[in-house]
Amino acid sequence: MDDAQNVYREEARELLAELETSLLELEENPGDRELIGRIFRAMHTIKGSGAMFGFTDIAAFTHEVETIYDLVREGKMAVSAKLVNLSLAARDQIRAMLEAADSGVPAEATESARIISELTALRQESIPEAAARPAPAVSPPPVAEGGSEAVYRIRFKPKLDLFRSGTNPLLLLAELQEMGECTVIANTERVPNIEAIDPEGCFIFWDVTLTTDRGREAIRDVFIFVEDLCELSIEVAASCEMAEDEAHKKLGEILIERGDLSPETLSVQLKSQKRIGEVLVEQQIVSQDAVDAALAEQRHVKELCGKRQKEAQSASIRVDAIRLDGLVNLVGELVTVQARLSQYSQQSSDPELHTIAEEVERLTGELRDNTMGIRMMPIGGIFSKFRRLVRDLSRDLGKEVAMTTAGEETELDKTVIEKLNDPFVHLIRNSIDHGIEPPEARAAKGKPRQGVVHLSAAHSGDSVLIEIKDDGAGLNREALRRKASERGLLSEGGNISDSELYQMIFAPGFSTAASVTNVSGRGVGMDVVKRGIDALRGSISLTSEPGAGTTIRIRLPLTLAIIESLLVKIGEDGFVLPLGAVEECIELSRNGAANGQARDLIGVRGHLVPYVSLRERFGIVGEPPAIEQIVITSVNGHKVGLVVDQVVGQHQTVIKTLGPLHRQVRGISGATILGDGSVALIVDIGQIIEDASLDSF
Amino acid sequence: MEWTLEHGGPESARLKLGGALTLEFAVELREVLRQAINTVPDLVIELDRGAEADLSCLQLFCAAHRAAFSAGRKLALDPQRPESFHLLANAAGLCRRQGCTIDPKVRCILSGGEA
Repeated sequence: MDDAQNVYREEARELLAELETSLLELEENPGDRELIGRIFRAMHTIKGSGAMFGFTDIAAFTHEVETIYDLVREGKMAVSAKLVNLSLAARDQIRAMLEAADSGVPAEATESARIISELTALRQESIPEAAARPAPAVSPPPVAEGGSEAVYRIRFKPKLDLFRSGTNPLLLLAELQEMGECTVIANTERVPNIEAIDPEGCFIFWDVTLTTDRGREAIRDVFIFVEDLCELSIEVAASCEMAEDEAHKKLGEILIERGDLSPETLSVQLKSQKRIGEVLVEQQIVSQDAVDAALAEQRHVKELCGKRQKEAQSASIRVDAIRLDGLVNLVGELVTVQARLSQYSQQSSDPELHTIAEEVERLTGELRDNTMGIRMMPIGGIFSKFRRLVRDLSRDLGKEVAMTTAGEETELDKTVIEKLNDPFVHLIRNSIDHGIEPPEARAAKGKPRQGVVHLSAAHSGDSVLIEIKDDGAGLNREALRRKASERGLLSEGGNISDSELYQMIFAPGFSTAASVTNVSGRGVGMDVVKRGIDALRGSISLTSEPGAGTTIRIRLPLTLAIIESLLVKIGEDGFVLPLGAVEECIELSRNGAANGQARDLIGVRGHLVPYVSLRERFGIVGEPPAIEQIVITSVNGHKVGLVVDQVVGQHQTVIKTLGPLHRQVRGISGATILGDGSVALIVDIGQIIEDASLDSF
Repeated sequence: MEWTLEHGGPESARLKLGGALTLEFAVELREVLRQAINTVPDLVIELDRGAEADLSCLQLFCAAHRAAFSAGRKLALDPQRPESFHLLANAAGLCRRQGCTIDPKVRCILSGGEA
């Protein structure tokens, strides 16, 4: 397969992901013309490029599906649940064909035939006359007239006599829709009640938001024959030339610009804590139609800016991930050599060498940050993959579940994102299978029939915090307690906090599910999740409230390649502790350990913190110094002190994985090479805390 | 334009509309709607599968909804309406997700709301 075909395959995969997201959104908003346009364009590109690069089967199959969306786009066919289902099946089939081209094993042709035949039948049901015609040739989108794209705010206010003149305003609106992404909001404020209405008068007026590159004059031309029969205003709401902060306007600002609201009224209403749109409608200051139109404008501007950003991003080149990994490895090696150089220069009295070492240190730092930045990807890509999982799973289980997301733009290292898939699948399956109740049960509890699974991500220091939250039944504490006792993890009547109890759910084979389904309940899922997150140097915890739902929190490092850490020594051996988990360092004298700080507990500002001697934990022989250091660490809110001989200082740690023989050693997650060429082990603080907690039971 | 008013009880009725519900018959449609609202406290408008509507018809439904709301009467559009009607409302930008200009808490009749 040549390079061009590889590029096509990658682009087609991206388009298929976009197509899936758009189809799932369309299922919820079947009237959204922008979504229909997006779906059509994705199929059009898959088809066109497919034919160009020799994927003729994909091009022929996609053409059939695209034909249906051409009819939908023209308003000749409606969006139905069946159409969305078939379109999703078609999307899966295109993906299968793409993978078949890779493996050389042809995709199931009968599946293609089934989908096409069902789509044809659906077309015949919807528009019998269209079925009789051959599939229309798909025309490319209108060519730009050379102008740059802008969002236009159009108010079309017909005079009462418009209908009597024989004009159908819908034809004018349809013409606008042909010009680009278009949102039409009819305003019914002027419509009188049935007693007073002139049945042949036109009282409705329209606020249209149009994103097009055709220019103001082309828009005005649409209304050329009704200029005397209407009030028409066409304004640029945002254009490609505008600065981003100038283009982004708040709802209130848009309403003022549109003349729907005065600045004085806005400042009074802004004092309320509610959303301004809701307040203005509630107070009947502005109609819902005007707010809808302003919101549509806001969305168009946001999309235009997003498109602009995407175009800027597309001024880039596609690089093979393996090459990128190679670059990161080389930067890692460079960081190690630079550490050696710095150490050597400190021992030397040569001022020139000092200067060179400092310069190399600065440049290496910048190179490291830039290289890591290249590998960062927004987490939204993986979030959108789960929409389909939620949809299909909730249908299979007879539940009604919506998925909402936040913080999709949060960036994480590519390798971390790739490894999140399996843990997320387990967690979402568990939420839907065990968490969210069936619609009837929810209704009986006074909850909305539809449950919600909410995925969110946010930066938190040097890590990313991801939450998977459901509004289901929550965990059953008693069942968990029983199961923990049965498995010998908890003594009969043993006292344990909720958070410790919930943590047990991650133990191997721990499941309280009454029945095992093909989705979950075998008790392997959460164990796998925990191991998956541990392997990413992350941590996982959960909180739950009976009847209100469960929240799972995953904390992950931004990157797996290089971390900031604290270098410590025990005897002659070096160890590094990830700096994100370190809170402070305090001294531990031998007298203190024997007297007041007995039973491995130390008072830190009025709180008792347990501590673990790493010398004992790792079986390092030799006498500790008279004054040891306790590094106070915190993971998931659990504070534990780690006793070491000496704290050396902050260190850039290039993470090296351990060989298969040492990979299973608990308390160690990797190794790094120090400036003097010696090896330091990376301490897995989470495991140390876990082992210490188990020992104390 | 064709229409029948079928009473389901002393308080409720279904107004069945069919044929051309277009500008040509707007005066007649307005009169039918006006009388139905004034005589039936709980009215459901049912559109025949073959009914052909235009913007003037949608506007009259909107006007009828306003009258029913201000008189404290019930008026709804049967959800089993022809697909062409849905496409028309959508093309005209009349498919709202929430609210109505008569009262933000009331859902637009064309989007399944009732007075």
